[in-house]
Amino acid sequence: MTIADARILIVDDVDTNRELLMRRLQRLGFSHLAEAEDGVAALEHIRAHPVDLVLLDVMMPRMNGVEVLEAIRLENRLEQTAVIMISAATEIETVVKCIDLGAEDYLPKPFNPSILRARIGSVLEKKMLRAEVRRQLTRLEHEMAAARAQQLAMVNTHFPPPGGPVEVHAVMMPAQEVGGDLYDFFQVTPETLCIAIGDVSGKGMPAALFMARTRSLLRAGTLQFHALTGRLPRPSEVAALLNDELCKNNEDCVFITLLVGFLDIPTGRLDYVNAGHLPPLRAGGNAMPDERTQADPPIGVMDHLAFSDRSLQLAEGETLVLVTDGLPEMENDSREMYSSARLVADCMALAGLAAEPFSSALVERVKSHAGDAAQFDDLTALVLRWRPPSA
Amino acid sequence: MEIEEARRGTSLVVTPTGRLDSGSAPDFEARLGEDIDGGAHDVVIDLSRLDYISSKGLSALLSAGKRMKRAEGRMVLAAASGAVRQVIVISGFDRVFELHDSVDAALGG
Repeated sequence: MTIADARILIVDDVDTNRELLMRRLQRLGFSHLAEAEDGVAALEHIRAHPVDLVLLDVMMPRMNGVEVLEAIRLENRLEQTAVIMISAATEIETVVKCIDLGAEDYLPKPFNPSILRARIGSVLEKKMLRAEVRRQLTRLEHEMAAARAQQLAMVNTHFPPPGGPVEVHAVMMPAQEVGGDLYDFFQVTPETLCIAIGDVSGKGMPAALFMARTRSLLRAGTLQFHALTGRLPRPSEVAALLNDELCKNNEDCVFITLLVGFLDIPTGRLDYVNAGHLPPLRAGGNAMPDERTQADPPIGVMDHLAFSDRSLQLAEGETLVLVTDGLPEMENDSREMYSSARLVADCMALAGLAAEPFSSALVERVKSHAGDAAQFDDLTALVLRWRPPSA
Repeated sequence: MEIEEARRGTSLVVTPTGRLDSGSAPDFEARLGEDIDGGAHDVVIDLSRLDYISSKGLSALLSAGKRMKRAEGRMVLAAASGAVRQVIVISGFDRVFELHDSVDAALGG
């Protein structure tokens, strides 16, 4: 719509005033014009036809301009219909009241052609800009909601049914519509489960796209490697493959901390690589809960980096907890972090629970620490419990 | 965030104060970028007054480090303590950057 397409309603009880305004507006190039001789007729017109702008006289019989403006406001039409009051110079107090009620501007009588053109032009332009901003915002909101759904659909929520040797459950909560956290688990061979957790630097859309890239590469790379060579890749080989790919065209220095492991289901041995991620937490076994082993650098940081293979042995019924730093760094209103110490203590307390109640309870504890404070960072927890398969 | 800069011989010591996170990282990165483009080719980042560093903060350091590499200069980190040191070590960034115990050690290196 251009300004000349605007639909304008002229409301004045004096015929000569209306005729004069009609002529002037026609001369300015407006063609969608209508008129009403009092407030009641004006409201009827506005309710029945779309109107972009009303030129509204203050003093009128039956229903005056202030009452019409109040009705437009009460009916929530001010967004669609802008109002310019027409007033004599002596009515300035009434004009102020109308501006407070939501009128955009006023036109003093007698009409000056230049002022008329300038005020109508600026009110219509403002209105069109606002409508454009609203349209863009709505479009963006829809797009972000769709992106969020896409991203949440990207992580696996088909958790293995309870009763098997491996229980897995995970919770992922982006801080904004989309986020840079990642988790995944998938079967590479009947006896091997690949698990992964990652956290892209930064938040929002750029992080989400990098997350999507990593997730696809991880799956495709691992499965293809196995299909081509007939053996499982070492975790360090997977990390190197991802790193070489994600270092390409990475001028913004986005990186992802990533822990990827292959669980040998019959034995409970986990071979893994830790590229800059928080170390795995263990609960309900014999291992020290929080082994602060030093990680390799994250993926995407340095070209041609060699990663180191690590391994751990799960005990029967032991729970492995992989989290992103959104958990320990969750702050409450006093800016106190939930902290790694509490995370470890809470994991110890929850040991013995099945994967699903464990992860839900853990996230509940973090959320109750935060209270009403807004979630600042993406938050993800993946919980795995292992038992030897019964023969 | 406050960023102090001081010349020490031919080196530039840059000292950020407070939190290096998504709020302050862009400014910090821009400042280092200006320094490097302006000819500072031996930079020590003094982390002693930093309380917190997030992934965005690390990313800013990384970006400045890459820029420095292109300028064929040297950028090192020094005097990280507490939580900041822990983040750098846990995330393996001590293999990406030279990490010195003090600014003096970094300048001597």
